[in-house]
Amino acid sequence: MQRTITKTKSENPRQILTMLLEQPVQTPATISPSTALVPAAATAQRIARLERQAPQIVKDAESAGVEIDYLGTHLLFNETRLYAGVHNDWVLGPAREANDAVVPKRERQTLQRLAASSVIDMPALYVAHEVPKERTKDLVVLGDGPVAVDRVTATDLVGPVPEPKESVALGETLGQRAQQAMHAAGQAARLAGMTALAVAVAPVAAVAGLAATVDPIILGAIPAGASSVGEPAAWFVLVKWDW
Amino acid sequence: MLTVKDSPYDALCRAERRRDGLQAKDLDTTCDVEEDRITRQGRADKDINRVRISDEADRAMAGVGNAYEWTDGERGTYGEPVDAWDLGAFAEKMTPHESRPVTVPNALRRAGAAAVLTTVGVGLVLGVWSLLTGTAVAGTWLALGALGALAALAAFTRAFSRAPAWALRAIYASLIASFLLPFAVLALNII
Repeated sequence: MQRTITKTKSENPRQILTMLLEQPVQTPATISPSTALVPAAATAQRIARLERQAPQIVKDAESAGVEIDYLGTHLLFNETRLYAGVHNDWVLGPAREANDAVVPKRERQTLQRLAASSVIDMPALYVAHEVPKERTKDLVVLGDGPVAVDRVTATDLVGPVPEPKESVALGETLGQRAQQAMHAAGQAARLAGMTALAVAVAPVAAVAGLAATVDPIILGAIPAGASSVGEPAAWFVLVKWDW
Repeated sequence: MLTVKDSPYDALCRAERRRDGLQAKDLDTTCDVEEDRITRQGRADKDINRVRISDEADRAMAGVGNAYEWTDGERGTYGEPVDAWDLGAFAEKMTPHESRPVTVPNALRRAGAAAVLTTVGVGLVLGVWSLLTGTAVAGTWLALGALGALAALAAFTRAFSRAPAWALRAIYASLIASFLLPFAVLALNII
């Protein structure tokens, strides 16, 4: 049965990520749905223990002044994965590239506060990016589960980090002011009056063009044991933002 | 002579103070090294504890070893380490998004070019004037300084094509400054 994952700006990413992580894994070579993995008794106990510990971890984060969201348990993985959605797809992979660590000020402060508090040991961080379907339509036919994609493909899908909107707006405003200043200088106007002629007009169109549907979400995973592939881990949303 | 030269006692005191300083520096460095060692040891201990507690809990609850398996046999015991940053490493490597360079709008690029041309023009006029009169014009250093700063800004922003927020402001300020430069040089020569 085809899973349906809808995403709108008002929706909570928690629901989406929970659904994504629940999907069984498939490889690009075998697109057909794979058998869901059933944990053995020992692993089930590990998962149960993680489930019990999760509320305390959320409380520990709260004590550090940070609200994190518990998603559930899922196995750790090393590859970057592409998950299917209805309106947009998602790329989810381990955080290990320089572009993964480009973070706006507010979220940076949140993560720094969490790291400095030392109340939580978060051994593995992952980054989720929303990707428009147009970018993935020629790549694979997605069924019930995610497919592993190589790092280059993932980087192409996610695209470069968008330019900061504030800087773009500043550039447009200063450009207009500079144009007016040069025009005034050309007409031999008084230099002191030039800056006063400047009119700050917000470049709405330029900024609106940047408001793409890319939603980076930083996820933290706390494994039951070692931080290794296949180890069950409790997953949390640490921070999320719209570019 | 007595007032400017150290007495042997003063020299001895100074040497003692330096020796005391060396001891403090040595202690400070030792503390840094020890602090770093304790931090790293702490992290390693945490990892070891987590694995140990997990393994012991498994044995206690299920009477099985530290291996865990999936019924379809695809997973064994511990796999390869996950190649991902932990929270501490991520926090250290974070870079601010708001300070990333953006494409400079054409109007502002032209402003940067106009600032360069104006400053070069002022510099040329001052140079020619100095050659003709045989004396350096007051304020030449100002024009040369402005030109140097503009060259550095142009190099940093790749000919005013990509710039972070502070450099955008600097390009605009350089245009205004270049317009004010002739008046500043004039004022320096009149006063």
